[in-house]
Amino acid sequence: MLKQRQGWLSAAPAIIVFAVLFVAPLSMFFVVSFWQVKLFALVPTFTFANYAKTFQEYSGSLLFTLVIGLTVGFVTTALAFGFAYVIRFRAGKLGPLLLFMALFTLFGGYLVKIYAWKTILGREGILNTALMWVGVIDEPLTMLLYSPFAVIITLVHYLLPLAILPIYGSLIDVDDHALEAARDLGAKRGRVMLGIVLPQARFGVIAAFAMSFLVSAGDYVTPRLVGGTQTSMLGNFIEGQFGLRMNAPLGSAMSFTMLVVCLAIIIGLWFLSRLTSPR
Amino acid sequence: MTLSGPTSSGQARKPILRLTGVTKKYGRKIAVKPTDLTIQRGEFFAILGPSGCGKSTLLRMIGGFVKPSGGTIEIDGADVTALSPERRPSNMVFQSYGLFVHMTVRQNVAYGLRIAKVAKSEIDDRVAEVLKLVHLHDFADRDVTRLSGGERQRVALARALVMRPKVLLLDEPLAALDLKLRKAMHAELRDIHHAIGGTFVLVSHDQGEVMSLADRVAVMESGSIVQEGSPRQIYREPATRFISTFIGDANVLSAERKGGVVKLEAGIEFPDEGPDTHVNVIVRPENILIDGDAPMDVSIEGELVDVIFFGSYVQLRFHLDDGTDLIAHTTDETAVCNIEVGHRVKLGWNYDQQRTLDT
Ligand SMILES: Nc1ncnc2c1ncn2[C@@H]1O[C@H](COP(=O)(O)OP(=O)(O)OP(=O)(O)O)[C@@H](O)[C@H]1O
Ligand SMILES: [Mg+2]
Repeated sequence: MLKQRQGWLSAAPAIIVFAVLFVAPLSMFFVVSFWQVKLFALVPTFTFANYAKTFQEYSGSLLFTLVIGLTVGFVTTALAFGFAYVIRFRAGKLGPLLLFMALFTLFGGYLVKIYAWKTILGREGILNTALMWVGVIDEPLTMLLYSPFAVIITLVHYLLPLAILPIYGSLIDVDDHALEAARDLGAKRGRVMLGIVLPQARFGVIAAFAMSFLVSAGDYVTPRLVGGTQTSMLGNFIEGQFGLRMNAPLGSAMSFTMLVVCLAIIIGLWFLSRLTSPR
Repeated sequence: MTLSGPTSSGQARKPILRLTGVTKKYGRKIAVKPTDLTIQRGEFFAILGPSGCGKSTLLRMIGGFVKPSGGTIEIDGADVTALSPERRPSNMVFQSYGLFVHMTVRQNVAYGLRIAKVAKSEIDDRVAEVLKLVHLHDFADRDVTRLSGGERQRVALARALVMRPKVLLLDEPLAALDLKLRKAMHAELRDIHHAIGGTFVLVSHDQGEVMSLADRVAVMESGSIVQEGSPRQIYREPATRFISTFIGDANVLSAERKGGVVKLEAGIEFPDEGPDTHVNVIVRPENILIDGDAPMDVSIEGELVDVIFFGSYVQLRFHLDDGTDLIAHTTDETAVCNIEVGHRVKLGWNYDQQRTLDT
């Protein structure tokens, strides 16, 4: 009894922080999502109209956002796994240096990376200039910048170092001799990777994926700066509802729909990953 | 298999493992000097040497984990030098076990068979059999993270044994266990070898372990094999001063040989043919006779300086007049009772119990 009380007591600060920072605002949005706006003022009601509208008008945008988010998630996680694997198992003494260099790129910040890609992918950007100079193309490619492609590449670049960390963290504990033992027992490299390394790095991989997926799916800055007019993600519309349109209930409903869908996807992937590991 | 028409007499004596000029360099450092080694089918072979002498490197080259800088490795007549570990008919037990921590005991042991696509029913049978052999049948469905050190060790052993390797490689498999458990595992390993046969190659720096397990031993020192033979042979006839002190205890007495006579610094002389040079005379402590009336070929006086009781024997340390110490072991406690520390005693040994080594 006493033990249990002490447990609660020592967890109290964490619980309070969690409640203030996450639960309170979320509950607030949840409540607001059933309200309505009349003459630019919030009217407390109980209506599903906002959700209905979300599905009618924004399901295409939601889908597009999920596709971008999943793509960024998969690409980032795959690359991050490759990097982390090399840092942990192949680079020897250079490993820590590589890790440091990857993290160092974070110092530039988010916007610097976006503008860097703007100068690379733009009409008069480095890539177009180089391609024209080599003679592969005669006219600058306009589809590079201001396209979903630009959004994906920018987000992947930004998220990669962040995704390396949890995967590297979970690979540190993998025993080198276990990998040798697996080879010794007849497993080829690929099989060792799938059967021994990946299951042990599961938490890190899922954390990296969830992080890059959620950050991308919720992003609205990158699409605005490099996505162009055709690449508006749900985040842009939500921002619009809360901002210019002053329709917080609809914005809340859209946010909540997004949140639930994302949660469902993460949970689904979690179970999928359990299926693929030996037990 | 590559049974490329050997002659009948050749087949019988065909070694299971043959190393020819196998060597390993790390940069400019030579970890293993060119080494020849032949191990016969069914042998329990041990590679013994101090830390850093290159024994793990040698074993790992046999297993395929380290690429030799030169030489060839043949297992059962087939050249495996260029093969990766998964394609060699050998299996390894690692010092730190290298268990698959996300699997149960059974899954660990079945891993190799599953990869070899052995039929499910046969996997079940073989896993059950080998788990019984290492006394783990009650732990089959436990996560390996919930096992003790000794139990993990058995999982590592079972996982390799179940593959029925042509050569089982053991790299200090018992080093992490406490003394008592280690002794118990010695007996078990011997039983297992008797029960299933097969060729075992053990690497160890523990001479007691090697003496109690191996049929044949290779002693390694700084990258090369310095002596090969049965444990008894190596104990009785150590080839170098280093081996004499590494395997068992030994008194090493400094001496000069001149014109066929060896003269110890302690003042004793005896005939011994050989070139004029500095020699070491090796005498095992248990071969030192104390204050006996029995005739001794070599006799010398020493002062008893200390007595240590080891249970099954007593160790006595004597100070000789020239300043060297002489260690004697005796199981005869009455012999000890008669002398006190500080007393001068007549000591000695017989020629056939000593060994004279050049350099
Ligand atoms: N990957 C490596 N790179 C450089 N030197 C190495 C490497 N592996 C081993 N060595 C060196 O080779 C020598 C032999 O090493 P090895 O591991 O074979 O010794 P060992 O006899 O097994 O010693 P221990 O009993 O301590 O395990 C050592 O001096 C070691 O420092
Ligand atoms: Mg070693």
